Amino acid sequence: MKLFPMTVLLGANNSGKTTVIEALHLIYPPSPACLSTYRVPNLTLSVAEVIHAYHRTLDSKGYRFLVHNYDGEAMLACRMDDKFKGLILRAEGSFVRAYGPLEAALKPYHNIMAFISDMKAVGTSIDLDDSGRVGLRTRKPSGCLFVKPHIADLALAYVREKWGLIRGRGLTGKVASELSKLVNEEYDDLTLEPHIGGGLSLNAILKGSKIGIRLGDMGDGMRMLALAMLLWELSGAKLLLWDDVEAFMNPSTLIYVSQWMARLVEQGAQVVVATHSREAAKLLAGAAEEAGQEARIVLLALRNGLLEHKVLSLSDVEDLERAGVDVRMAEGLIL
Amino acid sequence: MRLRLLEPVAGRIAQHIATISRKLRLDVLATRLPVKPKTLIILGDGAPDDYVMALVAWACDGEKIAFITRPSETGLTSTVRLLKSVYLPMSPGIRYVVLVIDRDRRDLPGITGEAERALEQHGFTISERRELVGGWPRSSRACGGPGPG
Repeated sequence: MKLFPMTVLLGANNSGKTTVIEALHLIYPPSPACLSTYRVPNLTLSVAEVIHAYHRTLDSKGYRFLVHNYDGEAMLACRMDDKFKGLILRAEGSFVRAYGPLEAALKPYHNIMAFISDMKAVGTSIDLDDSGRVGLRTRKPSGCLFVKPHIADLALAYVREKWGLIRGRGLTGKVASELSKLVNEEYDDLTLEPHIGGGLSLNAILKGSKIGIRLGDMGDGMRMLALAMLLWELSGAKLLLWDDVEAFMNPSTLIYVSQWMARLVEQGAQVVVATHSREAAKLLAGAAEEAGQEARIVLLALRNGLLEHKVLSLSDVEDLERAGVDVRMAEGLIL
Repeated sequence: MRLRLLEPVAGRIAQHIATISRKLRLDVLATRLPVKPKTLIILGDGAPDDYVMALVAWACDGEKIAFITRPSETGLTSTVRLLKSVYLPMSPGIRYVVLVIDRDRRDLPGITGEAERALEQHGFTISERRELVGGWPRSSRACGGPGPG
């Protein structure tokens, strides 16, 4: 599957959208043990642990969900800037072992299938334990930002931990000013301070009165967007992965999100999002196209364990609409 | 026969077919994925053709599934243009296309002639014509070639 500067994944439930996002999240960093932008008490989670944390919300523990039928092995491979990257996930006892080829052992490859067949000659490995923890944690950042509304609390915990850095870089005023574009109020700062009920909460500060409004009270969509913007600036990531991008978003907020993402793509970042919303898909692809960037909508379907996909341009989707075909309903027709 | 909707689920066809299917217990709506039907039913007009197709599907008792939709542009010529430019290029698995239109005051040869002219205008070649059941249903076999999109 080819990815574009802006790639929007569409598909039915259980069509593989989240799997693709998670696979990219695992394979993009130097290692799945690299650090994410999510945190639990006293610990910044690694990339693999973030995926585990999200699956815990689905009552799925351990890492065997990464492997087909919870047994055997899974291989991930991709080409980035003409270099191949791979990861083997192998179920072993009460853990999954993730193998990556030693970079020094890699020879030049001309196609990805040859690379996959040679991936058996693996170099290093890390263990992904059923408890959710990974062995051999590294302090390197992952280089990608994974946004998943369901674990926003863990992202907020990371923001709390990095608050000094966020303040130091002047990000609070910048994000507050952006949020003002979406509501009928004007904010000039974000603070992290005790609010009603105790504990530290992230607050938007009203310009003039200086009254603080908890971001959580402004709705999940605003909170997620504020967190995503803070984390993007903080992380220095080059790849944005956002699953269920339309979740909790009003259409006018989605328009803003589409412009924000288009700006990231213009600046050289790559964006991959998953959505169930046709409007969101068109908006995001359209904004990137308007910015002169290549954008595609990729329809996914899972058939007999195989992931099938069709790459569509925005005009393809609009042609289908004119023909009375909702692209989200069309996997049997066009795949 | 069962029907798999292609139209947005908030659309009228989806609502009509789902409602009549539930109220009359027709069970003609195909919701399970994945499906790859070979037949596409295009409603050239609107209600009550969608209700009627639900009844026809129920009467054609069986498990075969057909896609059903209604393009925003109605009419025979527009539909043939969409057939050439969208439906066939985008859906390689489709083998049979059924276009449901209102007869209005036109006679059958008039409708057949208009359909054949539209097909030929868009690069299809009519290779065979047949009259079935005393001339009421007429069958034309056409194959698409290069032509105006």
